[in-house]
Amino acid sequence: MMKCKKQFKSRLTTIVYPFFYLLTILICLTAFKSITASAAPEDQKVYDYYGLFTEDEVSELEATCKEYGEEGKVDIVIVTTDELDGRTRQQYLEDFFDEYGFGYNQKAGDAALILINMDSSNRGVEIQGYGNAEYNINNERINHILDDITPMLSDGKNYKAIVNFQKQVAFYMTHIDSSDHFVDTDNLIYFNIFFQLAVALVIGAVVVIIMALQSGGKVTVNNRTYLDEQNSRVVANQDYYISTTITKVKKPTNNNSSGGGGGGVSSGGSSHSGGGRSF
Amino acid sequence: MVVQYKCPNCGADMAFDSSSGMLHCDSCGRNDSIDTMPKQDNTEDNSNTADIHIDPTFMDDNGSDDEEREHKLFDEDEVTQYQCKNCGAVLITDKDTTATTCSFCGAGVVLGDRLSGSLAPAKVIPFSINKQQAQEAFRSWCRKGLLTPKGFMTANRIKSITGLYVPFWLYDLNGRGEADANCTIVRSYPSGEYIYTETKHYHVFRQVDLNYLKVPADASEKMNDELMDKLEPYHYNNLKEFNMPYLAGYLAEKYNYDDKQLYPRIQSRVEKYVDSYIQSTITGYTSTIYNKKNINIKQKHADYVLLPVWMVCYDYKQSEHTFAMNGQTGKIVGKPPLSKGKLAAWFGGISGVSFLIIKIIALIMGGSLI
Repeated sequence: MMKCKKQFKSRLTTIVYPFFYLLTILICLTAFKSITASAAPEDQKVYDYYGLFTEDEVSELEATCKEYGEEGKVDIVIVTTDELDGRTRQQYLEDFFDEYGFGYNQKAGDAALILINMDSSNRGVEIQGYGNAEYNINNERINHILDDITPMLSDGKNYKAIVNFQKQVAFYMTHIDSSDHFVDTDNLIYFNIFFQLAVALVIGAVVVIIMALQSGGKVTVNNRTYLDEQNSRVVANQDYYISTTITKVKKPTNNNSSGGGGGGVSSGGSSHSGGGRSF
Repeated sequence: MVVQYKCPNCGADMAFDSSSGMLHCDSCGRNDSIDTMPKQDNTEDNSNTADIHIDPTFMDDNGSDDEEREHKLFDEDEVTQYQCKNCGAVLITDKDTTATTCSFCGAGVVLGDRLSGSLAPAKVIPFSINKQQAQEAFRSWCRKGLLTPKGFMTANRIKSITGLYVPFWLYDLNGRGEADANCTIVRSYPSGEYIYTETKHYHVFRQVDLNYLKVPADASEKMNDELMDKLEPYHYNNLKEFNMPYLAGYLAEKYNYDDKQLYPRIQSRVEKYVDSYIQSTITGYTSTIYNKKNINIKQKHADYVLLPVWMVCYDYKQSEHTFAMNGQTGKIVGKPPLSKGKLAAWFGGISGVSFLIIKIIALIMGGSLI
């Protein structure tokens, strides 16, 4: 029995080393992640008329449009401009759709479009869903997407905003249930591998420090050990209610939009969902 | 005054036996119950009891005068030589020793004059663990060390293992505490457009009257206080009226600090106890802010007792490590050496496993692999 225990302990030391290798491998894997996204565009999905993105960014966005479009079975189209020619964002995007006839399954079929208008007097963003996307990316969900990406756009994080839009489109196209709500797992700190590593290392350090401190024996008496329970008592025990104070704060709302539900029918006759905001 | 216990049957030296709780003769196997033996604390002439021999040749000049010795207190700085009754060798003692073994013939001797008058212990917890058991328990404790180096775990370098009665004061105390606090209960609920936060304020008053029994404090200056505190608890149901034969065959020391000198240490300890008791009576509140707290500790009584400790000296890589074992419960305390390799292995192992668990949870929650 004793011998068995001893063997187990010496083996324990050899068992833990593979974890070091595992950690190293996982760290290496993160380095490969960024290399995977580069593919030649077959047909254009990114129309960067304004020049919001660098050439590299455009080609990467083309690739991600295709990737997430495949996942959501929808055409994802990105348009930037600073010239609406007197039209509203909604009209501009409707006309753009009529002109090119995007669609994953067929011409003028399932498509999700985003327009970023960089005209300095009228900066705004517009999202529209056609075909299946009209139902899966309805006005309410478009509002959710806008909640997430408008702050990024006003911060100038345009590329990040577009990638987020693509992810959300793919998510909502595959999650029909109205209760499903998109959570950007890649940007959550809890899913960051370095954060996870740091937490794991802290746990390891804390446990080992506690073990080391307790190796010399610990105090096992507490404040009740020597208490003579029979001859001890609470003499006075008074709780007086004095007053109540109530404070209230307004519930946080997501209503910073200036342009609400923008669904409708394009001049070409395509019905769509939609929504937009200024930023 | 050297007290030695001779077997009435065969004349060999007797020693206290922890398993039977009696005075035991190794030669003929005779056991004598200690409870029935007279206490020789105040009786100077014990020649009428067959099995107890008191050496009347006290080296001090006044030693032979019974009347004077009765009232004479042992002087701390007094250099007294004691001689073994068996072989006549001078016993190696220091000023605190109250019991030892003769380094020549191995007989257990008790220095009776250092255990009388104000130095007479009231109670004693005899050893329940003998030397073999202590050694075995120490070995198995070393083997269980998760962070100790391999060379240490075999525990084959025990330099010495000594059974020692350590002087303690056991305090009976009364602690009165008063606390006056402002407490709140916070509740929040949504209603309509708003989230309401309701804070109820209370004025709380508590008064407690607590009694603590036999809180121990180590009274020997040689012993590390922190180490001795960790040895607790001792079980007091085995607390016996003190009698010298319990010390036969073991080392014992007298106290260096009296109950008044040690009182501040015990006072601050019991203050903490009373404080946490008061805190435990204030429950159900979100926040508690104390306006006033009054804790008053009073000593009711203090007993001088001897508690059993096995001291283990251990040589490891040229340095000596000292461990103490509760001679009643077998609890071991003391800083063992730590192995850097094992620390690293545990750190890596625990970190690796936690990382895997975190990763699995993240994957279940919808995170990506990398």
